Amino acid sequence: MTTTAAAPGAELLAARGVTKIYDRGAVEALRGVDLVLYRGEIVAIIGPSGSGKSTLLQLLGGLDRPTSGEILYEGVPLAHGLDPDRFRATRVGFVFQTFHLLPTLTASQNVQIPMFEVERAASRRRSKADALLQSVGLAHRASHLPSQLSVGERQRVAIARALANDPVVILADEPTGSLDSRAAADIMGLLGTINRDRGTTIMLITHAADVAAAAHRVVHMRDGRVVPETP
Amino acid sequence: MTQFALVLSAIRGRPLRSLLTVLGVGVALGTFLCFQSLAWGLEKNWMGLYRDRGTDLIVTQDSFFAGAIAQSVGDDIRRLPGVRSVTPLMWGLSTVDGQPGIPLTGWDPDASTLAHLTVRGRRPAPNATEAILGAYVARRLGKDIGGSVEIGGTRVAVVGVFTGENVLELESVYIPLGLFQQLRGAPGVVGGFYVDVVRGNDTAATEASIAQVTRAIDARFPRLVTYRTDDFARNNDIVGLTRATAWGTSVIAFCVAVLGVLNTMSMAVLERTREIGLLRAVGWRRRRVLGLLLSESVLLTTAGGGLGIALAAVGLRVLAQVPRMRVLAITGSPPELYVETLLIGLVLGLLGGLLPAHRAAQISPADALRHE
Repeated sequence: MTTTAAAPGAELLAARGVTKIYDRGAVEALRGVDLVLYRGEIVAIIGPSGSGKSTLLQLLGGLDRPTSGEILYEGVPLAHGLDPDRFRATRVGFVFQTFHLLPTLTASQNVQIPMFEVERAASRRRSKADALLQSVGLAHRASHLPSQLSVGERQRVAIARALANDPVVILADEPTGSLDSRAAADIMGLLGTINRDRGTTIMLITHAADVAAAAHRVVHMRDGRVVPETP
Repeated sequence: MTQFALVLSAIRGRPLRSLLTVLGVGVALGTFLCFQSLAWGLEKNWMGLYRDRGTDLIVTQDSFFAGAIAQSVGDDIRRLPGVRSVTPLMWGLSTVDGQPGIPLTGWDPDASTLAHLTVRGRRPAPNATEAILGAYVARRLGKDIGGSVEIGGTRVAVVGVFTGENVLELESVYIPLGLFQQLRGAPGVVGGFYVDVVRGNDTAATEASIAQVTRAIDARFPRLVTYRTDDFARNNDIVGLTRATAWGTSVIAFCVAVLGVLNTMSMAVLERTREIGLLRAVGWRRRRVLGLLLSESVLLTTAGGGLGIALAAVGLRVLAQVPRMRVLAITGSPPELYVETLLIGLVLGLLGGLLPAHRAAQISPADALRHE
């Protein structure tokens, strides 16, 4: 495991003894996982398929609940703190390998989707979306449909969408998985910029060692567990 | 972008399915509007028939069809206090010149009951083998003054053609009461009586007079039934049957439409599972997801309602060209039926969309995003 060079900030998100079992006990996706995300860091989660990386991301992002153990946000268990929908709307941004853009909406409209729960005025949603697209270098593509964008551009739109409500953490599941090396480098560069300029904590899941190398810290997982650091 | 724009984009994103759903709902609601309009048209024409005649009461047995009352009863009714005039009638559906189902009325040609008709030619002489035809039936039979028609095996001279406001009346043939009785082999028997009461100084007084005469007739002739004109028109068998048929057909069309919408929205939720998962993942509350899907459903069905109104308008115009249906179709549709049609479209959207929308709102974002 790569040792971080920078000192971590305050504890932001944590998994304490988290277990997740599916299919009535047939699948134990996570087995007593402990993990902490600190403010301002980029953490890469790396491991083979089926190691529980995506499941951990979903639990940290409030998309699902652990079977046992707890997820804490700023030290408060998610189960007792913010409403999960509100938590996801205001604290978390998601980036997926397959982008999950709505095909009938333009880039700008896709970026506005998370804002509906937070911003009432349509005009403000639109102007903020356009500003976000500008920040990811896609101002000129705001009115294009996803089918009219390259894969790299689609992921940029997805990143802009993840930033829609100024989240404190971005959870990215294989953000470069569908991209060629050049586009992947662009995306990682963009995430690095977001981390530096906004102080946004980023956790990303990846199979690629070069992507993991861009992180402050790398966590290995296997068989539903975090593999301890080897000295 | 507003949430309404989001709803529109989802509908536009699946154009064929959206179009077919709107079409299906349009046909269902158009059917509803058509049948309800036909029933309304019949009821309106029927009520107008009696209203134009200025009759206060109709005295009969169970119905005019079954009527077999001694004509002399009319004289007894005339002698009751408060009664101004009594007109005996017979009425039925007859075959005229080989055309079945033509309304045939036997009445006193000099009675004031039919004073509202404008007769070109002249009215028949009492007991003569003569008839006057309504303008529509005259056109349909190709007859005019000077011609003749066959009724019950008897050639009857056409001495007049009348016009008026009521479509039902213009499809009718009038002959003297005596001729009707002769054709039916029922001398001295009538189907019922039109009774007019002495007018009071104001509406309330006239109403009181009508009520008093009704009580007097009921007491004197307990085997007869006395109706207010509007009640008779509203509750007669033909109107009742038409209304029941209209509602029965409409209910079937509505149920089919609900199932169609339910199927469309269920498929939409299935196909958009990942999309819905994404919405939930970025923090959309369940009720917003529910609202989105329900809005789509209601928008489709309301559009279907609009299409249904257009289809019904065309359908009624087509039916108005069919001689047998003209009586019902030419009256059109009352404004409240249009509103009812759109409201039913709205309800249809809510009913058909509620279950799929609820299911969509319950989708786990984690499961949905894994959905293939």
